[in-house]
Amino acid sequence: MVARGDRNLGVTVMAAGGEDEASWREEVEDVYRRHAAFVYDHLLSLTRNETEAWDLTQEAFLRYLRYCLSGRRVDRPLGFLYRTATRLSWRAARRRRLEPLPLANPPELAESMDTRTSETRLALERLWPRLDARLRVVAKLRFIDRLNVAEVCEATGWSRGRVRRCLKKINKIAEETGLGEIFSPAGGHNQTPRVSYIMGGEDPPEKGERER
Amino acid sequence: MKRIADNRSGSCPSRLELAGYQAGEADGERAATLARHLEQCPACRREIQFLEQRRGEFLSAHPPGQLLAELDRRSEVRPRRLVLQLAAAGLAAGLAAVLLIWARPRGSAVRTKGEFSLQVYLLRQGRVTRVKSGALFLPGDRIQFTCSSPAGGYLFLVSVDASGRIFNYNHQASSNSVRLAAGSDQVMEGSILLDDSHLAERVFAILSDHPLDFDQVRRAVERTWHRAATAEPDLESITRLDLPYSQDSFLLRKRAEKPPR
Repeated sequence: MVARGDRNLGVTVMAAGGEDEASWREEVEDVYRRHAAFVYDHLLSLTRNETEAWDLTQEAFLRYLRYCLSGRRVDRPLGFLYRTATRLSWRAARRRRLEPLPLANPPELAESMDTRTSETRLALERLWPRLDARLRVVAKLRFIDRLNVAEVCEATGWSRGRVRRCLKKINKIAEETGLGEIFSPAGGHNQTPRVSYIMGGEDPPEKGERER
Repeated sequence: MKRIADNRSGSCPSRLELAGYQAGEADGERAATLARHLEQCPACRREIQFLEQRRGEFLSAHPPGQLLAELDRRSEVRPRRLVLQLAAAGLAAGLAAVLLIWARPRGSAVRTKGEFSLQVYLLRQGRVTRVKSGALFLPGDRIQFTCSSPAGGYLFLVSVDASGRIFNYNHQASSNSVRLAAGSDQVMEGSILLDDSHLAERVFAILSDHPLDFDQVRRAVERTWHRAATAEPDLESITRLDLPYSQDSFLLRKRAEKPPR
């Protein structure tokens, strides 16, 4: 089952504890420069609270650092951070069970961003106060970030059935609010097959990460 | 009824993927596809511009130094914050440990600082890291052991996999224990290349006051295995061999290159 070798792993073995952590910190800094803004804006949209979003952003990067230090590989740091941030925000919302502070203009909903989804964004802004924390997570991932159902499942750790039930609830609330049908259960382009960015070559969630 | 979501273009990538592309994380083929898409899609180009602009704004408000300082602070503060709970837990754990040691005069799975211990280092993609017991390993990973011991003695390294197969992990598969001096993080000669077996494996390090041979150790592994044996012995719970010497063990969990979904 193994091939044995006389080759040693090198002098780094003795110093791996300290030097390795230093090199990983450099890598975390690099990943932070590239992705922190996206992760922070994602959390800000979910929590609508700048202090909490910043706190959770740091927590997500801390987890990334710990994950790397445990010797596991992350092929796509952004996928890892996005998934971790999504789950952290959901846990935080569930823990405090408080309404988030209103934020007038979350960056991801800025008019300049994407005129293509303006109607969806405005509809979601009107729906937002009527959605609970779980529905907000699904609505944000599905309609703002344009993830497909499989990707939403991967990011949240929830089952496909649970995500579909959330989407139906959002749809129902949208109908009651007179905003029309946001999600089409029949599929259409919502089910466009696409390679999952989150799943591709990615490590599975940590033990205990998956929530029911 | 009007479907709001139908305003979106179905062929556009997700924001997450666009952000990954913008940060240089996309693979070669996918990056080329996205580049072609961006040439034709003004909405996605605007989105990329927006992401770039946000990145600049964010980094000027929250430079990386803030994060690194916070990482340091959290790793220092957390133990202080938990000091009361830890004190209570420590008291309970101390009582439990006393009972455990009293009930099991010959060794225990509980290890304290300064005891004999086995550490594993992993070489993957040119990087060496120290890994914890229970970590996942991939085919092609190379591992090497180090041992820490407060006293000298004779060391034997042996492993058993989930099917009950036993492997001699001594340097050059030596059939006898090797001499180990007192000291911390002493590197065991030679490394081991993991093949594509998916079976979990537990490596035992045995420190004795006289040399042991492979037959003795193998019999001890078999005794432990059969004693633990329900139909399928659980490597998570077998942490000691049936031998009256200082021991430590390490669980290697394996998986294929692509995680099963």
